[in-house]
Amino acid sequence: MSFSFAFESSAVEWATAALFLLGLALLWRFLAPLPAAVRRLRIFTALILAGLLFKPVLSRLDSRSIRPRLSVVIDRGPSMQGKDDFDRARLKRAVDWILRHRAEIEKHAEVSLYGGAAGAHRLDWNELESLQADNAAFEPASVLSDLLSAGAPPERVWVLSDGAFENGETLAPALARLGSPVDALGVGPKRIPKSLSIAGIETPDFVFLHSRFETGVSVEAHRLEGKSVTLTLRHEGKILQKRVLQAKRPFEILRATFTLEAAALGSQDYRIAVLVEGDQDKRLRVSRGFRVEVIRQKYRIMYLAGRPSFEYSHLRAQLKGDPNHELVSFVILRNPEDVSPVPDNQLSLIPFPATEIFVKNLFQFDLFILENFAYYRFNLPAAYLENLKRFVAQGGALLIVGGENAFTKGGYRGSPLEETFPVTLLPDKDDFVTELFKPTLAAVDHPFLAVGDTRAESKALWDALPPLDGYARFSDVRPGASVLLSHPRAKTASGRPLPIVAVQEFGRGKVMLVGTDSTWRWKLAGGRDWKLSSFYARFWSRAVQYLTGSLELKKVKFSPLPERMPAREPAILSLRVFDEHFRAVPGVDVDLKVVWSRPDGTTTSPAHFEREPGVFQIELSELAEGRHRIRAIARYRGQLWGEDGVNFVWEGPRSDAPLNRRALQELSEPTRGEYRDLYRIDLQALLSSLPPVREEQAVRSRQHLWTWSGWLALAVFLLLGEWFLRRRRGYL
Amino acid sequence: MKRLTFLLMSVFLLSAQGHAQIGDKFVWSQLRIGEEWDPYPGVHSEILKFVVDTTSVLVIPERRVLTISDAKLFGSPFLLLAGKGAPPALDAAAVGRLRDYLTSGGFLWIEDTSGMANGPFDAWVRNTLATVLPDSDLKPLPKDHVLYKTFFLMRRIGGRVMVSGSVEGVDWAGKTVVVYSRNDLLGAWVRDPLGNPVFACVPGGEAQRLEAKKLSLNIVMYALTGSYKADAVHTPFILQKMRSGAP
Repeated sequence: MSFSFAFESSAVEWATAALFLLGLALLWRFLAPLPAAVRRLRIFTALILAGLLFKPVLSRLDSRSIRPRLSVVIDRGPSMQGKDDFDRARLKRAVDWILRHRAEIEKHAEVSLYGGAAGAHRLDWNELESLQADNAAFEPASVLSDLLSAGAPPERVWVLSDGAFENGETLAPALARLGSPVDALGVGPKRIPKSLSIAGIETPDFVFLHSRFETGVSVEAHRLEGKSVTLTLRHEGKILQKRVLQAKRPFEILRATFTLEAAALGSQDYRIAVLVEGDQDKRLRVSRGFRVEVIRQKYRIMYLAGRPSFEYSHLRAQLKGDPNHELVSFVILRNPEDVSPVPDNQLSLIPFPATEIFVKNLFQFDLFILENFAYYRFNLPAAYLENLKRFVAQGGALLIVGGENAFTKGGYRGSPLEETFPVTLLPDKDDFVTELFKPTLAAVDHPFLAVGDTRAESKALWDALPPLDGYARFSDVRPGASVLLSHPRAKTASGRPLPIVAVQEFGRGKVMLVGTDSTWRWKLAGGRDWKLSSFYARFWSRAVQYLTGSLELKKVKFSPLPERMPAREPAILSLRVFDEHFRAVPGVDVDLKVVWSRPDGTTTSPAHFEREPGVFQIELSELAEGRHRIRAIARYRGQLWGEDGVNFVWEGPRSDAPLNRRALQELSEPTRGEYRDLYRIDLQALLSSLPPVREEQAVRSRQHLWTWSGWLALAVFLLLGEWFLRRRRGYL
Repeated sequence: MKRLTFLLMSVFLLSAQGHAQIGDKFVWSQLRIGEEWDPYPGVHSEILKFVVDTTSVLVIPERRVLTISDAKLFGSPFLLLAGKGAPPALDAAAVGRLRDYLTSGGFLWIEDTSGMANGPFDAWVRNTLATVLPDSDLKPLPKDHVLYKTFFLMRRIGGRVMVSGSVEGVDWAGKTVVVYSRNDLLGAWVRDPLGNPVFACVPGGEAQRLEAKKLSLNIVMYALTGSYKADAVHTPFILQKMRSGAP
């Protein structure tokens, strides 16, 4: 036991006492003639009164040991039910370990126990033995937040877990708020087989054409130390890049980044294959595919027209007015036989840049439009058409808009370009018929023709259109071509319905044929029927999207999932919805329906919420082991916008599920904590990382000396004594 | 040869009156409002022949005459309205139909053939356009408007008379959908049976007539090509020609 002495006076009281003593000093010369005994009595009295102003306090102290606050969290996730090579459930093993070392741990720390799943639940020692696993997966961020709100912040945290959880984006802020080291104690199989798995692939869902993007691959390697691990990235069967990494430790996460170029439009499928040096039976070979949608920032279009026409002016205005198009157009304003009343320098004409169009700049474009262009009239070499054919074969898009010069009369029959057409041309040059007609839908379900919100509405719109004027006749439809619109009566030479709009793929590109140059009539029809007001724009916009591949790109897309989902709940899926320009569509505009088919065949509609604009999160709980299928259907602007589906196998709490050291290390490393396997923990080493036990002096009792009324009585007594002395010695 | 083809087509099409088929050819459609809708009945043939001889445009030689309520209005992307006196005021249905036509891709060339600065036709045009397109003003086209370079590079305009130094127009959605000329461009085209001009062009004479013809053709080409000549790819060529002193 010890004591301490202190003053509790405030600044005002200090100042008052100082003034009091200063006044005493100034009056000293008046005291000097008095007898010494009288002076002493007065001084004592003054000191007592001044001392009371200082408010003296006497504390009685006891010394005691302060142990660091240690929070011990036991993962109660579903996977902790799994038995491993210790023939005990992981949860049980974790509890037993804690109980076995309780005395030793409590000697070094003040322990708070928690069971952790979707949050942390405080336990006392008696509850520990009966602790059961939960269906909800361990959520580290929520658990750590709960520790903070439970009381005084812990100085160190132990998490006993098998790592079957996702740390997620919220972990880092939660660890920062906690501010204490977290030690992760791995509860799982002792035996670690040699294994290789692709832990994650990070790649953007959408990239722009010709841009470069990075794909990160994480590979978990167990007991492959000293081995070379080769990562091979393939696209369309070709090896794009390889990385050879060296595993140096028994457990290691190998990471590689591939920088790729988006060379072609549309959905591009890639596959990562991982293999180990010396793995003769290929037991450790793993691979995983992923898909990237390549889109255009702007579609570059070359529009070459044979002569000025209403078709040209309206289609050009339509293409030019779309901010997603970058249009370069040329129209032949004058033929060689035309005469002008003024010199050429008074004409706005420019030389026909045939070489630039067909050779030099051709491959800069995504779409080439030939409208009623008579190739033969300009004595252009056949190599130009050969080049245009190569352009299509290599992924470019070609749109042929007919007119009397667009086909046989234009010099295309037997040319290299004819091979790309969805039709074969007639030998007869007079292959164009001027006649009013209403085309009929030849492929009702083709996405290109879905201009209405519903199938019935699309058909009604097509039926409401005014007749077109003039069409080209053809010999036949090529095998593999799709006829979308056909003439109601006219036939090809082979007897098939005559195509008015037909498409086909040639090489890696697409070709569309429009056998009339009177679609401007659809534009003007919008003036007499409001329902048709946007038909023309929609038709040609969809034509460009179809030709450039963006029509088929998924506008509704799940983020990639691993083929096997670990045993945790809820399983979280992410879905994105884009508009036609691949901008995120806010949830308020989307009608989203999600259907979840369980392994037993039952279906439900799980809840979803918008995590950020255009990104929807779906959480699945009460999962059963087996194959699950999730299908999402989105409606936007009142029409079916798109759908996507994913399959995954939910593993359930497997006894052979590996111990996820990566997840546990991600939990411990940022806090300067440590990861250790539970079965080989050196407890003393673990305890030594705790803050030391501190000896602290605690105040047992406090005496406020200045509150004792005897001080005043003493002062009065002294002053009475002083008065008595002065009276006796004749000073009064 | 092209003239012969043009004449043969004229004969053929005259025998096929009433058919709407025009393929991708230019059809001269003229609006019939009131009694004085056709001050120069045969002038379209002169203009179309000039278009055929000078450019690659193919035309239907036959003129199509329409009223605003005609079903073929929305199948006629080019429309001429000419007049001297004030036509009767359009009723609400006609105003709405004309507005629908212009805002859905139609083009209207209005020609005041009266030769007067503030004649009754001019007043009717201004009042009517203000009703048809109330949000768009009729205003002079700027000197660099693409209309002045759709085929001929023009620095001045012509006409039978010179009432105005500029052509006026109404824009809709970035495109000039109405072109209004007050210098009687059509009058500069009129010939007698011997091929001589019927009217003198004052005060500029034949040079003014040539400018009138050039502007007429440019208007037709504007209806068929839009802002094509405003594309950046043409700019250096056009500037070079303008710097070379022409026209």
